[in-house]
Amino acid sequence: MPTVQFNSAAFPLQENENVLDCLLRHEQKVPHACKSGVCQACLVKAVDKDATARAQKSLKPTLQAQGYALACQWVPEQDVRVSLPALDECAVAVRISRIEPLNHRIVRLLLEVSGDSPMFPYHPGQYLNVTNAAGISRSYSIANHYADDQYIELHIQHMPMGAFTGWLFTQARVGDILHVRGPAGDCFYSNPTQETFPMVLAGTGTGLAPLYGIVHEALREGHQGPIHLFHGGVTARDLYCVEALRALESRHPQFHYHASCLKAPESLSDHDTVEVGALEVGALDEVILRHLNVGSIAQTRVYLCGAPELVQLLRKKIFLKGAKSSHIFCDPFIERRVSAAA
Amino acid sequence: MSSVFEKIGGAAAVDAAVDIFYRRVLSDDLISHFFDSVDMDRQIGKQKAFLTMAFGGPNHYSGKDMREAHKHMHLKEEHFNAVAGHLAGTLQELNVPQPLIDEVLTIAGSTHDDVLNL
Repeated sequence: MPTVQFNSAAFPLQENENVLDCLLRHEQKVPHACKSGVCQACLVKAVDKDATARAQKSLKPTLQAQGYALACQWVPEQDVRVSLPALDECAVAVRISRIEPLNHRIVRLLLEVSGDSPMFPYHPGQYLNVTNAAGISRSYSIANHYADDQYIELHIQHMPMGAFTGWLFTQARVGDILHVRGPAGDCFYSNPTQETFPMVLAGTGTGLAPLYGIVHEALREGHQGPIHLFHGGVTARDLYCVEALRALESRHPQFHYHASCLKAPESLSDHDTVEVGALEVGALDEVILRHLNVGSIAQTRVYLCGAPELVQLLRKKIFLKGAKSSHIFCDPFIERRVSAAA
Repeated sequence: MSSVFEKIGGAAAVDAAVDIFYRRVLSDDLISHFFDSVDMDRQIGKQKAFLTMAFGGPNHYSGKDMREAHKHMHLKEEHFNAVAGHLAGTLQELNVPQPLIDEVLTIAGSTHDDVLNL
């Protein structure tokens, strides 16, 4: 009988046995619940070869594209190797090629591959794990397409007391070597059948980084449906890439950029000289609901990134307006930072 | 012989029903707080497992699981009835024939004592 390789061991399958039952029978720890291919708790990654179509058919296209499958629906006819969803093990050495300020507390970090190992494939909007020479690791979303630019672009916010950003904002220099591992995350653009669905993307702070990558990827692939990007700050100085996104808007009629801030511009202090032009005022969820086209909400793909409380609030509000739960892609920042630090 | 689960359309029916059902319970002030957890993926997963069970599908819920899962919620008759109402409403929205809805409600009703910890 074929075997399932998992955690460096091989477990023989019984006749017609699925991967989940096999691993559980051998007392392996695999998250699971309904065992019916419905709840998706038993998500695993097919390492060498693709899983069967049946094991993948109910997954989001973004998960299918990464080789994920449901262990309870996967009855292998040959040896297979599986792993639990996690950052990949492979690390690539990269060199800092540029650090430039984007606003009062966010920098754009550009990384070029150093040495011979090729950059791993990823989708803009996914995240990777960066480790510096001191061994400090953090996860950051990728804001660009490597194949186009030959560098990785990350947007990083200075965290008070943060060990990694403390180093990055004071000591890091162009030429420093870092290691990146990944990619992970299922918040990215995937449209193999070239549909024209509307897109709504929203975030605060460096939640813009993955959204920036997704918008550019959609436009690069010639997405024809309307694309609405919402970026919110407390005040105007929390926004960034405003001019670049306004310019993108003028080049692509289907793309609409909505910059907003919580407080009216009058409350800006004197040293805020950022020229941001017209801003909408209000909480991000109110601003989005003002522009949301309820008529096409059932077809709309929604991408939400940034502070977890806000992501969960927006997700619920947009779902209640009629968006399909499987069409809402979220990347709440804290959860993965915590898991990456563990 | 075909089961309720097959007649209603299997896993595809669960997929079609889950968003409608979850949107209904989240919009109902009487019960929304039981469903309004931070992790929406997990909630959607739980609702799918519940609908699979209610549709007579393959599941691994035992009465004991049901009882354990709901014990801390201190649910009352009105909460159970509200959820059953949304289950029926969801299937009506999907134009499921009434006799089949009745079969589903019978299965869901069989969990009554375990859910209410009676």
